[in-house]
Amino acid sequence: MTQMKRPALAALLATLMAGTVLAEPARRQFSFYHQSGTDDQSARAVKDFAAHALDRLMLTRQDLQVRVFASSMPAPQFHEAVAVRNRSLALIDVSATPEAGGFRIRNRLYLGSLQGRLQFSPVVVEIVYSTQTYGTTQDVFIAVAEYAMAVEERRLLVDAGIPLTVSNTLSIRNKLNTALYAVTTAERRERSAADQNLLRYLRDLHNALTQLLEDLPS
Amino acid sequence: MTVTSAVRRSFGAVVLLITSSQTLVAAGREAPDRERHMVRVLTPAFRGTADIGVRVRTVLNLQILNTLNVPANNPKSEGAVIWAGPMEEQSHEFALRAARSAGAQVTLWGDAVEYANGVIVQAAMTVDAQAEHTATRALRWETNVQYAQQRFLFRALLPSPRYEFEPIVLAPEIVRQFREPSDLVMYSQIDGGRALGTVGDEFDTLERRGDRIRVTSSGITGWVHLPRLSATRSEIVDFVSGVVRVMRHDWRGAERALSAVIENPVTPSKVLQDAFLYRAFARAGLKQPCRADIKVGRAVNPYVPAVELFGIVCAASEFETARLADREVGMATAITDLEQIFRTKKVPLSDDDSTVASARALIQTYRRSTPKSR
Repeated sequence: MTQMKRPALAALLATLMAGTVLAEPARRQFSFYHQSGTDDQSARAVKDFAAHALDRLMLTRQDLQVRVFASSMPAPQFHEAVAVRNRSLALIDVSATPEAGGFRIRNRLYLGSLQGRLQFSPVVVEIVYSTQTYGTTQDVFIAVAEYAMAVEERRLLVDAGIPLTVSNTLSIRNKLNTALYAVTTAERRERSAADQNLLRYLRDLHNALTQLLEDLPS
Repeated sequence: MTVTSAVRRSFGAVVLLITSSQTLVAAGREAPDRERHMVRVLTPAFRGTADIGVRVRTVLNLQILNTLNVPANNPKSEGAVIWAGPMEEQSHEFALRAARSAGAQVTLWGDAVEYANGVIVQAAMTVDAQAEHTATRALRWETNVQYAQQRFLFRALLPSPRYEFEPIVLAPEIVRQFREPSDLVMYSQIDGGRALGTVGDEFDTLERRGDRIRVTSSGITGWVHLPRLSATRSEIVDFVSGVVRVMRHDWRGAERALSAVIENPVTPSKVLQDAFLYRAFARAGLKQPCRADIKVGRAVNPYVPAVELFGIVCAASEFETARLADREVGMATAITDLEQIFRTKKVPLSDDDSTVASARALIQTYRRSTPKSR
């Protein structure tokens, strides 16, 4: 038997693993959470918002599940106790406040270990609950979901000691590009909006996505 | 499933109607040569509450039909819009299977959902990129360059087979109208007149003027006024029309339709970028410069490999055009463009890709043969 020296063996293993693409988890979850005990109208607004926030993402991904929880537990504890155990990509703490005959929905997105390079934690996005903001809602959630899945996929490779290559990061690149398209669409749509907070979070997401794309092997 | 045999050529568009409330089944038939040149768009009924999804599909279909005509440079090209019942599953994968069952190259599908204070239409488009069909192959931008006794082949495949469009917020009056059991009304005159009847499941289009179409249905001929679905103009019809026109090599028509997509402020980023790429392709077909569209399209998102490949084919196309016109400056500019792509790219471009290899080879050959140009 030929004995291999350690550096050569390490190089061989690296070569073999470079083409490795880890299998993606079977099914991922987005968990929406709202405080139990709120009044009927705002609860209805929250539930309708949560039920539709991922409409467009669900057209393109059959491996996602949306669950809506009601609990009196504070969101961070709920995230640890339930969402993480259920392999949720994100826990979105949703609440509705009345505004001008309708509701404004506040979303606090907890990404946990998938926070990555995002500056703000949790990511807080406030959107008026109406047909006019449906497009931005879709784009925000698509961007966050694809970003989180890309961060997760990258981390799995790194944690397994697998070198990042062009071929094994193709799926990561596709996710990041999908997210980037969604973010830039929302930024264009909202550029003249009075609410600068939303634009600030979109810019943060844009910067994080661009950094991750720049760091991919090319 | 019943397929009507009553079809009629109209502005090069043949309406083939499948009357069924069930999902599509495999057609499985031999396609004669004529059919291999026919571009088919499959439009299942949009899923949605009451008949709203069906009505939305009808309006979008008529708007698409309204934009199709026989291209002057490809008179044998034909187009068809195929109607069908709703898809069992709302996904690109199912839309692709449905298209293959129906012999279509493009599927336009979607949902009409009740949300907050109104109704939203979310549409999507799926292109069968793998179909061995003349129309799908027409989406591949191919250029041959002859230089220094060598031949260099360049090819870029379509940038993406899947799109989701900007959601349409249905105007309240449209929601009210679509909730009513009546269909699209036919009038005696282009600007109104007497109501003659409604458009049934089978119809032929005879003439169009703006958003008015003259149709014949169930023995009645009249004018249909296409309603405006929303306060803002959607990019859906223009983009679908643009892609179909590229498939038919209707370069002039494609350029017009894609320009409308680009100028529409609500067009989503991915659709916007690909509209630039397809318009570059159309402009090259018209022997016009394509590099400006590639440059702006790339700026939308420079991290997509397809963008650089389109840039390479555009530069090659401009090189060949300049070479045939004996314009050394144009050739040098095109080579500079190619070098710039490799210098500034933000995506992997492997020499395993024949187009990438051709680009490097052409640069090398040109630089060797024209050292003074350095």
